[in-house]
Amino acid sequence: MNIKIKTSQQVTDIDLKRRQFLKTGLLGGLLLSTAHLGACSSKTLKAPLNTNQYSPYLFLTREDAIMLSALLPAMLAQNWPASPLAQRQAEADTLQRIDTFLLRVGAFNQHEIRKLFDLLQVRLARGLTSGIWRSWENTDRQQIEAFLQNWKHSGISLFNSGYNGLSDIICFAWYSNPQNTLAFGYAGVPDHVAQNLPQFHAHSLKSHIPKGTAS
Amino acid sequence: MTDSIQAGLDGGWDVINAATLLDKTVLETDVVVIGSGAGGATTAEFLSRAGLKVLIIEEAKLRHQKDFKLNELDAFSSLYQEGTSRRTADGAIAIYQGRTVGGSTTINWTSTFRTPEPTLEHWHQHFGLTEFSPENMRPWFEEREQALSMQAWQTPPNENNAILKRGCDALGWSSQTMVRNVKGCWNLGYCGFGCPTNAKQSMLLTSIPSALNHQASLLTCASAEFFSFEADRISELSCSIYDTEGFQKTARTLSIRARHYVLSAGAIGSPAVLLRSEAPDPYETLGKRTFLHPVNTCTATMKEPVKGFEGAPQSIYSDEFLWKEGVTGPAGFKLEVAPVFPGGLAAQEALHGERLARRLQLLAYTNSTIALLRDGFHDDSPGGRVKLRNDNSPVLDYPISDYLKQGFIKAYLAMAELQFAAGAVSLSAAHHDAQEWTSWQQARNEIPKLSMEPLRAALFSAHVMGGCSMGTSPRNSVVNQHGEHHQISNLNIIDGSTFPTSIGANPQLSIYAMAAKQATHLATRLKFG
Repeated sequence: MNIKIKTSQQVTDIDLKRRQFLKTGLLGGLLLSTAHLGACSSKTLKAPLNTNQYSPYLFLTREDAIMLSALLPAMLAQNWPASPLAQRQAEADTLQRIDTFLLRVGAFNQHEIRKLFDLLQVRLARGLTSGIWRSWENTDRQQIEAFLQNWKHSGISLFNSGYNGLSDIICFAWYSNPQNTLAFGYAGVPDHVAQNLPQFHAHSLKSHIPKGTAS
Repeated sequence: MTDSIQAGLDGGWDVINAATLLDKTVLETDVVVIGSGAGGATTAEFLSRAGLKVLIIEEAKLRHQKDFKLNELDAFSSLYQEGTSRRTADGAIAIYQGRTVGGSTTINWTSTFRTPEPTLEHWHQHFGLTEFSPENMRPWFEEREQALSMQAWQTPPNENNAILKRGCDALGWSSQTMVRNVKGCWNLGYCGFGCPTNAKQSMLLTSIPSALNHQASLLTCASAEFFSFEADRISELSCSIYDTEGFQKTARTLSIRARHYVLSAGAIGSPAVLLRSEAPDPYETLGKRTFLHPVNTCTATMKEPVKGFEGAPQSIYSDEFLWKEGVTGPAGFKLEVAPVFPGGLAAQEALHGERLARRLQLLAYTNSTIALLRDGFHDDSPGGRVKLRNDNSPVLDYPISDYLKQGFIKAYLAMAELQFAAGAVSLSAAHHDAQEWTSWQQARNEIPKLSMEPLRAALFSAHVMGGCSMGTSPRNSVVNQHGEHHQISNLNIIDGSTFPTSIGANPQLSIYAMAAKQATHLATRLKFG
């Protein structure tokens, strides 16, 4: 790609700051070394997509899906369905929505989210930063809640950002589905409105003006 | 119902999706306008009506009525910058900007204000801007108001807005009815999703069609990367090409050669193009003084249903606190309400788990009051700075000064007092550390204790302004009062990026009127200059 890449001065300054920050502690170090890898790869402008052709997702990996599934009940609390069957359906649907959303957030955010998700999947990094040492499948709701509260109220802004990122993505994906808010009075576009709008009728989208007469 | 966009496309408008072009295509035109939002579309309309051959380029795909299916996931991820994930550098402020043909005008809430006179007078006094006196601007406001069907909203406000009015009335505060740019509005409430009924007189349905009817061309899925220069002139604009849906950048590029270039990519996009171009910036003014009208929120539970997802999203406002302590005094703020849709509410609340679940269960009883802080009028409110990240994408570094922190606390207090006065059962600040308060007394005690350190409060902005400041001297500005770049002879910047401060009101009409005035000047210059 014929795009000017910024010159060395800027990059050196950033590297220097990173190195200084690395000394600030193990937690910061872990986070930033992951961040550093991400920053390098993002120079290519390539989105970090899931290239496995058998994956049901275009962004999420299998590991992401396991982690997000573990987070869902804690994020949604009493609004998370009770029956296992409904849970499986809700999980599949919400992960698909998260995947769609993340495909459209732009390459930079995709790299940031990739870093966050990766951090939460490497056992040592996850344990040190979140207190979750067991695999996501084997972590109970209380531990996950403690982790979320920790990150939310942490004095370290990277953790606050991580909390905001996770809760925004998951809660938006869930609550933006009108199926999940029927009981709260919002069922999406009212039927009587949809009936009168052409975009909800597959065959009435064409304009009625013949070719060549637009003024 | 006729969709005028579909009719125009069927009738032969010159609209091309860049994804269909070959790598390294070169295009030539009189004038290229970069961006199709409030500034770019208005400019394109005025220049093409004057007989100039205009090419508008837009990073996003053309989406119009047939695509506006009113679900939050689809609308937010496909019509907004970074799929609504854009934030300031430290993550503290969410930035909602349009990324679609028509820019933010396609997804705004139709709230319309002339630039407040104190703002224009401040620009005159502090930035030497003589062209923008209220008298000079009046005909341009009038012309745009007429052209875009801007009128005071006649329908009774929805309950969400009525709460704002009731609270103001109870406390003896002023409140007014909004002017909206709509024609035949169904009062549905989906303005932020792309108007489903083609009632909103956005750039998508007004200036863009007008320009296309005057032989302008629209190139979508093409993103301006950088200018090349020869002496003091731009010789070429290099663009990258997106995929046909406009979400993923491809490796293909194209270039555009024009007599004149107009940058209208918005207050983050416009400085970004110049920064990537390493454009002359002898006094280091580029990208600085970027303003946000940063918004904080109080979310209340009311006794009666509110249904903040139905009806015109904004129809009442209060300027009680906007200028109260002087134009250059402590941060003033405008009070408005935000529509209450479930996904947006969930993303906005900075909560999860049980408290968020309860908030959503009370969705239909929720009032969301917002305060827009007027930034840039005080030395302690210098705004932010647009920078390039390692991948050359722009980011706004906007530290929250103590001056603004004090403004946020005052705004929380005013909103809480107002909501309780309007009958709220309980309320909370959208803030990590805020509890649910059940009386004004309790809120008044607790609000001043809230930390305004980054990432504690849920803050957002829908109005990014500045970064390519207008002024009379190159020492403190990027362009002159006509929007002409101080150092580059064939470049105008015409959009909200040239505002030297924030506006102090929802900015669409400020941009339309200024663009109409500057584009008229530019048309004369290009035709006869």
